[in-house]
Amino acid sequence: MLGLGGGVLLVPFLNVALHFPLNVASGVSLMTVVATSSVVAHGTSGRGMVNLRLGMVLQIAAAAGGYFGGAYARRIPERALQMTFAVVTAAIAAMMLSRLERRNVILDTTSDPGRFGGRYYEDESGQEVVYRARRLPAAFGVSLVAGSISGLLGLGGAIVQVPALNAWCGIPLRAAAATSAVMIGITAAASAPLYYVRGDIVPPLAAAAVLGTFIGSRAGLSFGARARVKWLKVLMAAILLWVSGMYLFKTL
Amino acid sequence: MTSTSDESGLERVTSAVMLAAFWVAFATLAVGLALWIAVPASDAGALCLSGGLLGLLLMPLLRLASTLATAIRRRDWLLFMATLAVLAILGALTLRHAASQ
Repeated sequence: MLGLGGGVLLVPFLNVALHFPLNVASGVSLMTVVATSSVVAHGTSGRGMVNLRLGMVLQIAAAAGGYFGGAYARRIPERALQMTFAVVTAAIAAMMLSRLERRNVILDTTSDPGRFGGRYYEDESGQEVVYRARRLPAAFGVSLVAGSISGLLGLGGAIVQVPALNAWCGIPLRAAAATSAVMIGITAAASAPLYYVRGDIVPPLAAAAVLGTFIGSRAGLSFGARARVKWLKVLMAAILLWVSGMYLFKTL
Repeated sequence: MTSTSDESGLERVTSAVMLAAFWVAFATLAVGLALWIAVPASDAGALCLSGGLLGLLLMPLLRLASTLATAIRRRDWLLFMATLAVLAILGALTLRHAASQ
């Protein structure tokens, strides 16, 4: 529904509520991200919601950010990182709440979407809509930061990337969420085998989480297609504020 | 995302393989979990669970292959180069992680 992959909720739940070690929680979370990505790719196939060109170009920045983030993770104090992340997510939530009515879609289907824009059928408008990507360097920078966060904090960078693409770069929330969901699956699939080999992916636990994710993702996809964008933004902002509060609490 | 009407033969085959792999992986995981709950010591259950998880991990790789095929058919060299760059960076990331183990 929001293209976040679910890890932002699952990792704290497994780690804090069920007391699984963080590496096991992260390993299971990676598998659910791959599952969500597969469900979204399958569920949106042929509808034009996934913008492959924009997604792959931004994925270069995200993957590079993940590479360097992982390399420098031990050199930056964890508390400073967590505090920065808390402030950034709160700022993005505030930005989303201040732009609830802005939809980023053009109803005139003859409009040119440009090199990185796209078009898709939107249930809310009841017609095909067009969108244009703006501020591509900003989108590239945001993806680099999102990838770095993923490498530094072990969280999926979509929590930053999806709202920023929507608020700053003119990408409709549904297109940003679907594109992000497919892209984070690729990154997760690159890391998951290492967790699997280390024994951090416990097969019965991962299978149960993946099957739950399968049902939840399909329901979310169906609900997200019918829900008003305004309420999706409110939900996204609520999740951002929850994550911000969680990290702020950890740093205090 | 490509529309079904203008897919090439290779893209249709890739889409069909992905769809089959998608359902087989989830079905295998469901069977494996049921077997593991019913008979925890069963090798068949463990085998199904591992097979299902590995099948699931193949999905994004198939998607990358499909994207490369789409880029070649559309002669979209920006998409082609971006996909290759992503593959290269993720490959480097995987090798670095493997080396650090």
